[in-house]
Amino acid sequence: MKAKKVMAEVLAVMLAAVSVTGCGSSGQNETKGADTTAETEAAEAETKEDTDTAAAESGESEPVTLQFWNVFTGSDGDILRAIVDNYNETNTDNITIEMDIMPNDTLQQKLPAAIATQTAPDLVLFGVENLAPYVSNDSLEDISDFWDVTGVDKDNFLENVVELSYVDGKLYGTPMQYNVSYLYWNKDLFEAAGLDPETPPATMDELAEYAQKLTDPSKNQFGLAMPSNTTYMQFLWANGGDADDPETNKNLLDSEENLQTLTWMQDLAVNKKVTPANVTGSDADAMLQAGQVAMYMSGPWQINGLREQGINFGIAPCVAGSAGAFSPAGGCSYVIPKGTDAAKKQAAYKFMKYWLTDEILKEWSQKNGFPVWSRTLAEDPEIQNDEVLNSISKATEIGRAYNLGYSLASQIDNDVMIPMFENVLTGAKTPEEALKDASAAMDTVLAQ
Amino acid sequence: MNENISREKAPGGAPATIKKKYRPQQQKSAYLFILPSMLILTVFVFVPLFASFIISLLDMNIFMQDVSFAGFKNFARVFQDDRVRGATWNTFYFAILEVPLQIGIALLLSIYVAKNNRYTRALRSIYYLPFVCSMTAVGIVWSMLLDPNLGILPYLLRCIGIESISFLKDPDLAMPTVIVVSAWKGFGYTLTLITAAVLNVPSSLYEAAEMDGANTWQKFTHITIPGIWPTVSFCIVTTTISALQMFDQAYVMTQGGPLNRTETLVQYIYDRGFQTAPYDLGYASAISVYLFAIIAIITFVLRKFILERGE
Amino acid sequence: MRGWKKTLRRLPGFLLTFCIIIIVLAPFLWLFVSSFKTDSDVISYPPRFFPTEWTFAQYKYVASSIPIFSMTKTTVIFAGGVTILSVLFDSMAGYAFARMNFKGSGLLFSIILLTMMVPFQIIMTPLYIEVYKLKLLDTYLGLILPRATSAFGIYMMKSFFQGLPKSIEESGRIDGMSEFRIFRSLMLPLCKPALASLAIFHFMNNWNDLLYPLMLTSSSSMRTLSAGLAVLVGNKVIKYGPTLAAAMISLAPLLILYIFCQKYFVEGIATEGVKE
Repeated sequence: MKAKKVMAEVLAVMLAAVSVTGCGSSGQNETKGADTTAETEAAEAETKEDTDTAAAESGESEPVTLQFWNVFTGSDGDILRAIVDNYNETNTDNITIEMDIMPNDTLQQKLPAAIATQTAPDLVLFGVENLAPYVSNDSLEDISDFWDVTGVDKDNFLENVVELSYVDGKLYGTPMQYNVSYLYWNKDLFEAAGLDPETPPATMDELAEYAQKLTDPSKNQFGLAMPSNTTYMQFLWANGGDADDPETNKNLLDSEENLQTLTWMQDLAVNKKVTPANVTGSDADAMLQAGQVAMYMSGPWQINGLREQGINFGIAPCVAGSAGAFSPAGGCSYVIPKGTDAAKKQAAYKFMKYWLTDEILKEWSQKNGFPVWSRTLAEDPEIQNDEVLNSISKATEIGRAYNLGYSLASQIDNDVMIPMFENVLTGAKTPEEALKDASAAMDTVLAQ
Repeated sequence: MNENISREKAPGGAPATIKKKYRPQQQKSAYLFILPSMLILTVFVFVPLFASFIISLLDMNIFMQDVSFAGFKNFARVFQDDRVRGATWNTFYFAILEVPLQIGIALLLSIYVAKNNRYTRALRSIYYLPFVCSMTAVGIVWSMLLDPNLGILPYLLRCIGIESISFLKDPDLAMPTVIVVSAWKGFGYTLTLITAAVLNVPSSLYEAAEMDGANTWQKFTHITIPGIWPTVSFCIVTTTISALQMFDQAYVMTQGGPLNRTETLVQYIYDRGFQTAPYDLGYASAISVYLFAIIAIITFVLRKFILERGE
Repeated sequence: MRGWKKTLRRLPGFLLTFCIIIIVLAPFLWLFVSSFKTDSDVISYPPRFFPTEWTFAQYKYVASSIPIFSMTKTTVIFAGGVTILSVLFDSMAGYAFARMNFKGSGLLFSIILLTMMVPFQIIMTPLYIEVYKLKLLDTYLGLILPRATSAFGIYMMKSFFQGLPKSIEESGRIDGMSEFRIFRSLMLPLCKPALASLAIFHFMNNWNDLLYPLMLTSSSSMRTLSAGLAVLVGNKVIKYGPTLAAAMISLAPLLILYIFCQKYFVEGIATEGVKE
């Protein structure tokens, strides 16, 4: 422990030395700068208290500008931008949100450095899988008081959704959207292959059978797209297998069930060739939109693209195996980076509260096809009559958290699970080898 | 270390300077000439570089919390990591094929392009074009053109009876495809530099050789090649350095796949440091130091070898 | 008969030229026409080269999603600033290393070469912290200064200066010119093609750069065009149509610049050759 502290000091000195050697006078400026920032912060905190009381009296408040980073590139970003713009115009708290969209990669590179240098934004929106690593590095504000401060009713939201924003019993974010993987199927292709367009496969056996019937090499048409750069927890779970247990750090890969699942996948991909070889997720998206793929498992973000392309599609839950049907859950949360000052934190709370109103959640679900997880909103007649949202909500019930809140999650995905599935789907290794190697890799990761 | 290497490589840079006397006035102006560049490079390259050397000895992630001294633990990991081995192999695979391909194409074409007729004038106006474009744009275009399912090239090949070439999706073809696209993008720059050098070879030398009865090949090897050698060696060195740092191409077109067959060292560094939690900056920096050492050694060997030939 | 033979003799040259032009231009042509395709045209099967219906929708979408003009302005200032400073500093340093004798030139040059061997990904986090400590984050200066010289440019200018005849600066010295005047009035004019090609090199490199401007700016008002357009490429779903339009938009200014400069640039090389 002591050694760690010493090292931290050494590093601090080194960085300071770096800035001094970098530019003779900057070292001085820097310390001065730091002082002034501290002072302004203190001053701001004071004025904040003042304005709070003042605001309570006069009903007006000091203007606050929030820097807001998110990873919503693409079309859902347009919808988010419209909502934020509308908020900027209509809110009575004098809050302006400046939104900056960037690719996920970029955000992950900038944010930690920004938090360390106190240049971080005041509000960030990213995938819940990021929460654990940020929390374990003490980089997010604890917002456990959110429900009390804002008066938002926590119980109005599905527990499994809210749960995703908690790490070790503390709240670090507020839910923004929730999703699982669904089975999309192209009704026209079903019909052309002599299958009932309204009956998607419900079991793994049916899935395999349909996929073969729907594959037609002469038309460059495939029954089931299985991208090789992703994971297939739904199949492992369906047969009663699993990858690891985050609670106990236990490796659960090496099982008869998993071997059976992997063998089944390899048979479909390599022998029966129901999937285009070596495609990525975005290749598969494009092929689904082009009508070259009949079935595909993916999140709700497919819906808008499919609608635009005029594909006649249906949404079903992931198929069941001997142990039932499951689907990996995910979502996005609003978080507040560590070091955000009290006034901005309060303003961020206000926007988070705004997002959690049924009006906004409804707009988001309807425009994007994301499942509804507000109990009052679920009663809304418009929502109940929305065909897509209905099938989505049903398919969401089998959601199961996979390593969420586990700080090793992304390493397990990138170093163990994705390579294993890629090796199986491309036929580079036999299922036995792939499983054995993955299990060894899992041991290495879990040993950390 | 610098001291030794620089003395060894001195035949390249400045053998003459050692013998000659320095004139104080000229020396002073020389230092003024290089001052701005040295200052900028020191502040914005060496200082961060030095910092990342230090970081390679630390247990540290990008959040810069809980920093502790790791000694050479990170380096021990580098030499045990299969993916480092794979990425090293891929990096060399790329550099060893891409550099000769790009320079070879440029060298061969430069003989033709240096002629002055309407075809070469047309050529000169277009071959630089791919180089001007961003790798992102080029990568997107080529990966869409080559997509085995929706791309137009595999489709045309299928029409003439060549079945299923998956280019970027095939583990064995992905790297060669990336190499060809990189050469496609880069050859114009090399060609421009080499053509300029070819045109700068005094024509009197050729005339003299013709009088001695030299044939085209002899003229090429005895006059053109020595004449353009400084430029060619510059191209070889810089192309090799950037090839060993290959990142953009694979990042845009293959993301390192399939089966990590196009993952280079820089990509793996990027993955460990910035893409895969726990964002292990210490380990990423250790791989960086390893890569840096590889590039430095290769560059100095190349410079020594190539420049000695040239002088 | 004679004319036929002449044609035959020219045929290999014609074929070579034809093939290269096709190989180089076809992807650009495809990009250009495809940026006018509808979404379903872009990913249709069987693929088509030309759109079935021409549409500006993709461009409209891009223009409505990001502030193209202010981003272009930022990019021009950034890339232009870097180019001007870097060409100046690179040629000065290259000249000193090529034509002047001074203590430690070999060592210093080796050190400069070392900086070429550092991938940006390696130093970006320390660089970010440093630029922040220098209070240059989110300023043009902070964007431009770290790029204001390059080992590549120094090396390139050194190679060019080395190729010039020795007699030039001797004559200048006999005339009693200062070293800077020799450099400015005698040497630089001879290096115009090299300077032009270096300038183009720097300009397009910085114009196209994605990671660097994204890392060293933290406010969206300082976004460059390439970085801004990258936002259009979705994380989960790639929208191919807008992606192609965005690629076209980021290329267009460079292509225009290229058309204007290449005349000077290519002919500069040619006349240099003829003069010798």
